[in-house]
Amino acid sequence: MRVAFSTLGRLSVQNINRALSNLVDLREQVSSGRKFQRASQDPVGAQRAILLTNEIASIGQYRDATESATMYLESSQGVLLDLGARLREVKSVALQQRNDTSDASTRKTTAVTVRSIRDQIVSLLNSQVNGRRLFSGHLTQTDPFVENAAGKIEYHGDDGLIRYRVGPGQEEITNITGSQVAGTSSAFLMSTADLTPKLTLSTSLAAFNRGTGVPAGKFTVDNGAGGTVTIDTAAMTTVGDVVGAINGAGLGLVAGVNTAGDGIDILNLFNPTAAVTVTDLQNGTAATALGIAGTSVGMLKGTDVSPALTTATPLADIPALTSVPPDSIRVLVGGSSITVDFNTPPVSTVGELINRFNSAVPQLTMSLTPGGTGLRIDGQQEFTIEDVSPGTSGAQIGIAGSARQARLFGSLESLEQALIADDGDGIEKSIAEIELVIDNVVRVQGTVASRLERLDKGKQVLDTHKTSAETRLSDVVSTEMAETITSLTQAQTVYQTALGTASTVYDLNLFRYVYR
Amino acid sequence: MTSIFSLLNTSRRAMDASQMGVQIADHNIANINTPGYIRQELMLTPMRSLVTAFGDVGMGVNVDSVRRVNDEFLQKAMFKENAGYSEWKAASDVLGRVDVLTGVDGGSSLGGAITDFFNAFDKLSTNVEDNAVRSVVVNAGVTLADRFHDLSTGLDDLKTEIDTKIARQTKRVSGILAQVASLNQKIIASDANPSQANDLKVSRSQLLNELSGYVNIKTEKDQFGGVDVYVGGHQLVHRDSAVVVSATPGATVSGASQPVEVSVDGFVLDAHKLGGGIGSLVETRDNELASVRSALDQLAGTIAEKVNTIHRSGFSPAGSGVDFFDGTDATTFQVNEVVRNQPEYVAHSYDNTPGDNTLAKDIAALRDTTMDELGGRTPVGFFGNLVGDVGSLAASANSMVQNKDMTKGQLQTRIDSVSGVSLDEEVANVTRFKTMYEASAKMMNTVNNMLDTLISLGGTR
Repeated sequence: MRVAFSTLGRLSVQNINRALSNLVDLREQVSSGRKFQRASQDPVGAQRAILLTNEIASIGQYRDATESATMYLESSQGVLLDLGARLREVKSVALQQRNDTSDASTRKTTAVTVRSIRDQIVSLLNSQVNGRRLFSGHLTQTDPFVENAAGKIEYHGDDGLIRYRVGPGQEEITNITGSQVAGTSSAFLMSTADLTPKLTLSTSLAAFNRGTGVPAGKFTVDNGAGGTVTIDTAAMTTVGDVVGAINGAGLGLVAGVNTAGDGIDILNLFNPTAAVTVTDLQNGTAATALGIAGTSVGMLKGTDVSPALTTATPLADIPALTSVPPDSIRVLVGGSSITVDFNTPPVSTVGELINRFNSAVPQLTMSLTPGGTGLRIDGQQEFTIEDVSPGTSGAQIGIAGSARQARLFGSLESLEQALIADDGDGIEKSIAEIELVIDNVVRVQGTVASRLERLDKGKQVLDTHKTSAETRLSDVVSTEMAETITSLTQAQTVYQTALGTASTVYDLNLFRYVYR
Repeated sequence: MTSIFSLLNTSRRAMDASQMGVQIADHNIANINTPGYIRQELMLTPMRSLVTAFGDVGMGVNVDSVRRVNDEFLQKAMFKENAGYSEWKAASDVLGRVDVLTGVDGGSSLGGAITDFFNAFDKLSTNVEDNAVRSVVVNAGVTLADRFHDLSTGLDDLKTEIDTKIARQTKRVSGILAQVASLNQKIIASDANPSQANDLKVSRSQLLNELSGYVNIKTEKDQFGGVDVYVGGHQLVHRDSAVVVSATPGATVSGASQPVEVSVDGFVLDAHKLGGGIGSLVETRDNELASVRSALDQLAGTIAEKVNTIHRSGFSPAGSGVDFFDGTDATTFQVNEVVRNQPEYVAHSYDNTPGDNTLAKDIAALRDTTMDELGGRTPVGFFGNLVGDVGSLAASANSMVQNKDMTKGQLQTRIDSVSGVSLDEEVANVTRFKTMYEASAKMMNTVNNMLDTLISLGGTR
């Protein structure tokens, strides 16, 4: 082929350009420490870098929020510890005044001490950090505890909780409201009776094991005489579905709810001397959750599956309720007396019972306890529940009784009054109430401590996440020096060779030889 | 029997021919670096023989013609390659600019500004009583608006630049067409003088080559030596006449002037019919650039709308019902003047208490909220996707430019191997013709000696 002079030039320049551009690229990577400067150099990497940068900045913000939350909670905890100490001091001075050796004058003196401690407590609970009252709820610019004209301490805050975003999808409450500490908020009663319902064919699989439920999964049932069936719980919703599947398998097995109503038994009807074996498959736990995993000759007795109470549970299925339907109870709340009649018309399920109570007593809220073990009643004030004679429903359900509040300032004021009035009984009552208050403060301290612990763990998790995200970002954007510098050296050699070749090619032509 | 003087003529013609050969080699060497130059070659034929009683006697050499060594099919293929290369080059230049605009450095890019803005609200949620943090939020909003403006201004400038480029290149196209028509006329007229036409044809080839970079042309040679030029089915040059191609700003629609369009004799041409650099500029402007622009507007509008919906429903220390942002697209996006001048208007709560931070948290949570308006992505995810898309487009345009450059180079090598000047070959030609000249001169000397001998004999015939 003829090779034109311009071709030589063009190819040389092309090669030199290519080598130089590669060299410049690599040099930029080494000097900037980044694999790419523009998205076109690595579109996927660029996109990931933007997301990772966002992630790292977000983790930084979560970390800041965690620090701030920790600061407020630690300050609150400090105040609560002081508060506990003050209350114990009150209790100890009160205890000195309970015996008969103390007289009216020492009690009066002590009353002054109690008043002084009360004032200290007010100022403690009105503490502020960075201009924020720690115990005012959302009303952070208002002193939470203020003495009114009658000399009583009133709460001027609200029940607002201040939550911080401390992790992806995670929030932490960073304050304790004054009502939580001083006890103007909730009082509650938990049912004391065991309201666990009986297992029936219509019991939902979701209610098993205190509401943990039965996971979808497969298990085999073997009749010990060569017959095996595989059962899948994925599409099953009730005990009846499971029992029906075993009974319908044609293995001569009879499954059913046991007489105690707490588990499932499987009888080997046709082969009474062979073992019934139930085994979970593929690491499943369905049979275990149903209480029937295992093997036994003649009859496999299922374990207690503790079904949870649900709103759909019929009252007739709850053994503790001997009189079905229940009769009436009386609720004393806020100075009024309300009678709740469960029998006109009769309620038949737990859900109906709850609704009847809640609509009759708007001041209080009845609900299922977590795990469905029983019922609880919550209110913002003290209340009492008693049976309407001759009924016994309150006792049967386990909700008869009084819900008391831990009234911090109320108890101090009662104590002060009792001391001034030289009233031994009053002092005794106040001491009991102050003990309740101390218990409450200790409980709140526990809450704060557990929040601080969660934050601390969260901090470690955030740090790990941040390190991991930074490593990933670095993998995406940072130049691998050893590799790049090696490539750079190679590129330099290529460039030098291209230059050398070009000059040789230009130098060589017939002209030089013919017309020297 | 031939005359002894005719021998002198034979030598003279050979010396003329060899002189012409050296002249052509010289011309070729002189144009060795002229772009688009087509090498010339001296075509020699033997002179018509003299018929004698003893047979035909040769009368020396005859210069037949000076030929342009050209392959027209390769040349046409080159027009097409050139148009393809220019198409991708124009697209790559534009996308490269957008690529630089969107940037990947998280700290300074829009992505970083979006994250910082939402994080500022998160910071406010932990310091709702502190008005200094409200200023931080406002500043983050202003920075976010600045980033949107940087990008939208950058895209606007780029669009204006593209329009200017289209207009400038279209003007050049019109100029080339007129020149080609004028060269056609000269070439047809000078058909009697081939050597003059050769250089005119080289000029025309050069012009057509340049033209093929701007638009995708088709050429047809007519029997008189003229070349007709077509673009997208429109005949632009017919023999000695050319049409006027013009770039005009489109009609003004609702106050905004529309992009520049290219028209031939009043007919607006579709970009894909134009091809070449101009077609690619129009297409990249109306497709890729427009879609980046609309994505950016969508992002700005969605952020403003989502933030405002929450913000105006809540309370700040100064009042309630105020939007945080104004504007519905990247150009108009900005922090509401009231909030900008009085940061205490930055809302934090729904219940109008000083400690409630739920509104600030809800706005902060938008950072990680996927939005239907953003194709089911978070704001930063949407921006990341946009950057990735632009990067991919730019990267594939870059690699197409390299591919096209390579195929164009290979085709050029083939054209050069036919039409290009080889220095070695020309040196060989010079040597060849020089030797021929020397030999002919020697021949003439010999004939002269023969004449001397004849004269010294004292007789003539």
